[in-house]
Amino acid sequence: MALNYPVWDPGFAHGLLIAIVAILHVYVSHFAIGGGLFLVVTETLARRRNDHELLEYLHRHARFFILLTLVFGALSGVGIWFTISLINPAGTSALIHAFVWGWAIEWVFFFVEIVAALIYYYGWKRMSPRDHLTVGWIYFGAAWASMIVINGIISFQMTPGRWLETHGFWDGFFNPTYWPSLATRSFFAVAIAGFFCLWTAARLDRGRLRYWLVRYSGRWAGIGLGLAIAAGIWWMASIPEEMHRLLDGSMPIAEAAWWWMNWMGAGLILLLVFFTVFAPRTLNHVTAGLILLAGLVVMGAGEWAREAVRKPYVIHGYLYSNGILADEVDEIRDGGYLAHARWADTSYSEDPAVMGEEIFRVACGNCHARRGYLGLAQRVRGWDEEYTTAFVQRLEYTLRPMPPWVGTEEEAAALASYLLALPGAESTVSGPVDGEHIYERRCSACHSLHGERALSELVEGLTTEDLDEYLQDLESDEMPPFTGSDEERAALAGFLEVVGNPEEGGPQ
Amino acid sequence: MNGIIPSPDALPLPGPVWLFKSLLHLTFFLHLLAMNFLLGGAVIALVNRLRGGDEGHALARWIEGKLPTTMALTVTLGVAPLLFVQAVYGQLLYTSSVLMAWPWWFVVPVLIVAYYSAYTLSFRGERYAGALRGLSWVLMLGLLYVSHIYVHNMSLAIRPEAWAAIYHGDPSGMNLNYGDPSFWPRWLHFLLAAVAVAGLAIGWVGARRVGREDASGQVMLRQGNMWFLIITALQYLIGTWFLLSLPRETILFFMGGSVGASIALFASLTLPLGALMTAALAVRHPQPSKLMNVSVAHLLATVLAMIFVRDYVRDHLLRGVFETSNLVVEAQWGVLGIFLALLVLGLGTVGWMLKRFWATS
Repeated sequence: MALNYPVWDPGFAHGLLIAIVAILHVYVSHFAIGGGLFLVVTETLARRRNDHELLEYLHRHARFFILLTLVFGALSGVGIWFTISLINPAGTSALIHAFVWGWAIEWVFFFVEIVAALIYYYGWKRMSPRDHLTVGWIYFGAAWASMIVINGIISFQMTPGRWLETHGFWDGFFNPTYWPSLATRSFFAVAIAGFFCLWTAARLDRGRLRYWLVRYSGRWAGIGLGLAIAAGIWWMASIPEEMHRLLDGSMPIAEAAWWWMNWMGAGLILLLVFFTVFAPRTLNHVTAGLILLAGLVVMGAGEWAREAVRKPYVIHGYLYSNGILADEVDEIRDGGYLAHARWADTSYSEDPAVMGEEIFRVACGNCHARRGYLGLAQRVRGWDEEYTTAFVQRLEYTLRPMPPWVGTEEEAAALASYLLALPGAESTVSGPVDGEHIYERRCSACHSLHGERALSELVEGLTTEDLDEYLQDLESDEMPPFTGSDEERAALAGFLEVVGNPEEGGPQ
Repeated sequence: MNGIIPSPDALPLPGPVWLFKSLLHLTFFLHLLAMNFLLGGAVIALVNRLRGGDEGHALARWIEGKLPTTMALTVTLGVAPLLFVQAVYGQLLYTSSVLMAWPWWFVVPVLIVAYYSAYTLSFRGERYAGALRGLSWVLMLGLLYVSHIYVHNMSLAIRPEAWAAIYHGDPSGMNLNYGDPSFWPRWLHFLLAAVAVAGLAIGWVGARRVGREDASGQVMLRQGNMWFLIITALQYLIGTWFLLSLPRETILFFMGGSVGASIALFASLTLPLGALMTAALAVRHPQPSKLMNVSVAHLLATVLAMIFVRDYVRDHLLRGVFETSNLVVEAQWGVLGIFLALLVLGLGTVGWMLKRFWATS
């Protein structure tokens, strides 16, 4: 089963395609749910008050709504599916096989949702108010139901729970984060309905209706956001401890996404309070656009963080990002990558350079690029072959989540020489040897100074001489050897001594 | 290593193969009808726009008014067969998709542009004739692109013998399936079928209008049926080319080698004759509706027969490489039952909504 598929090698980290398509889709698809509720609730209100001006606005808002959700929303959803099957066919296949009837149920809701949206829009003036509102509720019910299904599959990827033992549909579906995830998404969908209403309301002539709509949609946004935050805290409490660790700094991408979500969320709340509570008359389409954009960043960053902390898995504990099943690791180790990769170019046996590139594609290429975003050339910059070879064989011990290395020694050496020959991998350091720089290059992938696996604790009380000796005999199952020059080793030992004895004035 | 062909998923198939295939054929049938009206309609509308004249213009407007909803149906009805085909043949389809990753990925943005063009065409008045012609072109070319790439992918998925050379030649996802001798006839066959089906659909609506003595009916009936008659006659040539482009053993499979395959091919060759005759007679008939109903029924049966032909071709080309009978099946009956129940409930809901919608027209 292992390494079943060819790896698409477009020359950059193609996971970015998923990020772009998915973030835009998720925002619009949540609007498709919250916005549906907004339309039908507000239409009920307008009909009860016999407010023709409001009804007229809602009709135009509905047109904007279907143009955005039916076209972009629906097709970008198909786009996610296209994209994940190109980037991770093994993961897509596993999700289809585990949940095909869930997808099929979701499709039924999708079908009802699309038909209801079209009838709701085209029937605006011709259907009786009662029938029209019923269709509106059917729309919202179907749209939300499709999320109720998809949420089971998305949260499953992160926390498959008992499914790992039973492979039962419902065990995977109602997994440990199912309910908090559903609540967070549902409430955020309500908030998004408010953001989009602000956007269309800001285009109205200034007057009673616009003023009322700004305050009204501010309530949707505020209530939705408040409840989403509460549900988000519940969600945080339900995710595994190891994922918190990644959000707290072990994984820079996850930490950055988390930071953006929190701070942009704070900015969003300030914008909302100012423009919908204190100064509703000052909202214009630029500030409404800012609110919409801030909402997109909050949601996008949240999704990005969620995807990041699931690494190195596509389905946590079951399938690694590079298409290897967790329970076939030992089997592949016996023989290595190329012996198990169906798509490897068999000419590698004659040409070690080809072998290195094949290993890169099979083992790393699902997530990493050669250079640029998630590029490996900059990761190995300044390393030597011996160290790189030893390092890649201990990948699973790095602070950032990486799948285990399952290749042979020869494959590790081929990958190392391929990576080191990449443009951008050559050392750019000149001048005197600097211990801190060596720490950054050689130790920081797995250690921090004072945080996780803190060197300050590990080397506490040791002298430069102790450390120099220790560094000469570093190699273990988890630690690569120190392969720098004597001068570099001495500089690192000197730096670490200060780290371990902070009263002598080391870096904090 | 036993060859380059990916194995089916490690997880078992959660339902019997026959059920997946039935759902695949049924939803693909519905998707084809919507897709044919969309693609063929876009072609016919553009031709009428370019020809000008009041009649052509009115027909183009009528078709364009239907295209956004048809697009919604095409996409929605296309998701289901794409799901079911992945459940059974996923490992083949994912592979061919990776080999042509870029053109395949661009199907989605192109569809989004085409979809917005369709909406703009249907919502705009007649004030910007030049821009509308431009949008008609965008819509039609976009849909042609999508159909072209789909045929590339679906045909490369059943040509595993070509994969290794293609991937090792270029792993960056910029390949297509032009090396397949059956590619061009296959695509032309699908494309022309779409125009023929759209033509007959227009003729069918025209015939109903003739029955109600609506003046536009004759134009639609005449032109729609003309498209259908000429193109369907042409399809006998293209279809023969398509058949002959298949490997010899596959041709023999349809010439008595397999009873089922031979019947399916025979049906898809003879059923259109009935559709052609009734459509030709209907053009000058004072009450054309009944004849057109018969013609449409023959055409629907033809589409169904061709879906079976297509399935036989696929499984025959894949024999020895991948056989669905070898799949491990562990049916999830509970959730499968919920799906079927919700499907019935969903169709009932859609029926109720449409009834209320049409009741007020």
